[in-house]
Amino acid sequence: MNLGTLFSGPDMATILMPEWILLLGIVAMILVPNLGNATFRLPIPGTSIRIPYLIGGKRFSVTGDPRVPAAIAAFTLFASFITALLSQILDSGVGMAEACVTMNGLVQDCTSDGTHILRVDAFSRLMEMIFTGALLLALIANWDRLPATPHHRIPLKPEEDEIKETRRLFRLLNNRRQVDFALLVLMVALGMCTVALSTNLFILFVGLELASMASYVLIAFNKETQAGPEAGVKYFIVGSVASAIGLYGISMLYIWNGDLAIYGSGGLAAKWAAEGPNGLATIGLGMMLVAFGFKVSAVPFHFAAPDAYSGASGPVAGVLATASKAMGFVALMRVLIGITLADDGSDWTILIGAIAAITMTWGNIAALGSRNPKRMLAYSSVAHAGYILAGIAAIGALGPGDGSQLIATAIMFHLAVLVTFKLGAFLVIALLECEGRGYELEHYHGLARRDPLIAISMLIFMLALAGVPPLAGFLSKLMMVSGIISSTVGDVSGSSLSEAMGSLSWVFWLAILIFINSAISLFYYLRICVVMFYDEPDRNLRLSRAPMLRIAIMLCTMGAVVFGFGVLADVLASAAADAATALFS
Amino acid sequence: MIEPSWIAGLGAFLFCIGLVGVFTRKNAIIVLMCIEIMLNAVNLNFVAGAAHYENIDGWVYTSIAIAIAAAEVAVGLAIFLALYSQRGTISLDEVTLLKH
Repeated sequence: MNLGTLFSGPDMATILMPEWILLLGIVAMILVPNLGNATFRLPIPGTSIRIPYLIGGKRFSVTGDPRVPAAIAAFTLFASFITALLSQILDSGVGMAEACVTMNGLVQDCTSDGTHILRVDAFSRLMEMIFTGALLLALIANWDRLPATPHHRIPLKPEEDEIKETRRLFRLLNNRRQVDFALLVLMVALGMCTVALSTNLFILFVGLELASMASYVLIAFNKETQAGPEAGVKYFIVGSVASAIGLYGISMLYIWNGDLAIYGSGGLAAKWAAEGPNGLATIGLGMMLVAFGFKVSAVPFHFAAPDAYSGASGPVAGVLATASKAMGFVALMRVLIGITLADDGSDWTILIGAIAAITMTWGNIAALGSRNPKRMLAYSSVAHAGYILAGIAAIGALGPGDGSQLIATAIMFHLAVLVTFKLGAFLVIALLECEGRGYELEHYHGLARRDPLIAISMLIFMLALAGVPPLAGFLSKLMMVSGIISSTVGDVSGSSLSEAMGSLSWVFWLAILIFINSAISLFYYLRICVVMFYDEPDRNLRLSRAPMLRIAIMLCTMGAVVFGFGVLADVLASAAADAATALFS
Repeated sequence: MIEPSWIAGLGAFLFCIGLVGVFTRKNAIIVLMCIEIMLNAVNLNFVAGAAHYENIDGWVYTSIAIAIAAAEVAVGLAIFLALYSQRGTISLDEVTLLKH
């Protein structure tokens, strides 16, 4: 892409508007907090003319305020979310609804032949909204986890009392780190949006790496705590080994085909459909599944996830469990549904089905035995990954068709509503973390007496996670299970019940397993609710005020309720259906 | 000119070395080096593919992959440094605080 095409035709700027906004936000984040009164003396002897160049020197008090970075990032993410939303709501007359970008930076119609690297459609727009929405909520929540105080309120001379001195140093330190946090959040957002858009495996991988590397740093962000760096190191080592293996898989597919575009005449999907995979392509695909399986924390690659979640701060762990997981599923769906679906007798569906069964069962059993609510939520997110993988396996077994589209709709809907209740649960943990607790079940005892509103929110999140009607989690699970069952039972033949059971597809049993696992999961979700409402609190202090964090929790609560039934649930479900249609087209 | 298949073979060999090193070594820095070896194996594969198909994509992918590897080292060393300044060790055997 050269700059000429960017500025001569407005197409490129309009269709990629959410990404351009994120990019501008990153640039602003680097420049604005550094603005100061620095001047530059002209190197002419005998003169002392000084030209201000604004970067550096003594920083201006307005732009140097520690609350500026979070404000810039929140504004950027919000603007990006709104542009993605508007491009879908407004009619396609704006020219932002659907288009493809070629390798040399031209904007084309997606039906035209050519190798496209980015594709804007209902699917990528919905995913962009999920990513930016989740990161926006986490950023708002982090306002109180990493408090920003204007300098003049922090005494600059050292305190004599040791506790006061530590607190003063932390406040100074937090003020300096606002930029880092907000910048990393924006980079995660840009990487995730790239993954949502890309139809070229290498571009997809670059976006994945951008998002993962920023999230490694976010996990280790509280480097003064004991757990932070350890969680960061574990997640970094496992994550970068997984992505190195995945990149090797991509390079094998490149050797196989000579082109990494997924769609199009020379693309991987066309070659897969025409010739079928050979050994090279199969091994390459398997290696890519390792990388994406790590991102969604499927079972053989799940072991770093609980450590990472419990070491990271609450909002960051929430992002890992929602947006980062959704990114992994976007990549999985692009690869599995985009490339290999035409070859419907392929073996990977059995493999994914087996992984799904093990993942959901193992996640639930591990969550039962966990006393730390943060680890419990981490294991429950492993189980949720299992449910979604079961959906993907069912799509693979059924082949393209109405049933598959229904299941894909359910997956998309689930990824969207997961942001409300899973992130919300992590934000409640973040509220307890504000007083230095939250990592033991005992800390939740009597939460209802200390703060009824937060306890009710947590109850709603837990019930939604367990899939209790009429909350959002129920609807997504219902769509998934009914999609699988209705499309497998439809072709049952045989007169007696036992014959009919014998002729059922193995996918049917996956749906039954989702039911059983939901029943098991109810136990550990309700355990938290019981101790919140029936046990005596061990301290009677009110919870921290943390206004922004509470606003974020309330937004999540409202989301978990309104997306469960009614008008907004229908709107979201139809958006998910559009996205599923776009994915299969 | 060297046959592309030889280049890809060398890539596979390097990848195996890296993979074995990741699972056997305990020093975080050496594990990071092994990850770098794996990423370089990827580069060799892209080069081999580009030479075989005579298209330029592979060269572009290689140069971007080098940048990714460099970024990975920067992030990794920063995280290791945070761990080291806290515990005084970067041996992966001794990072066992987060359990249960």
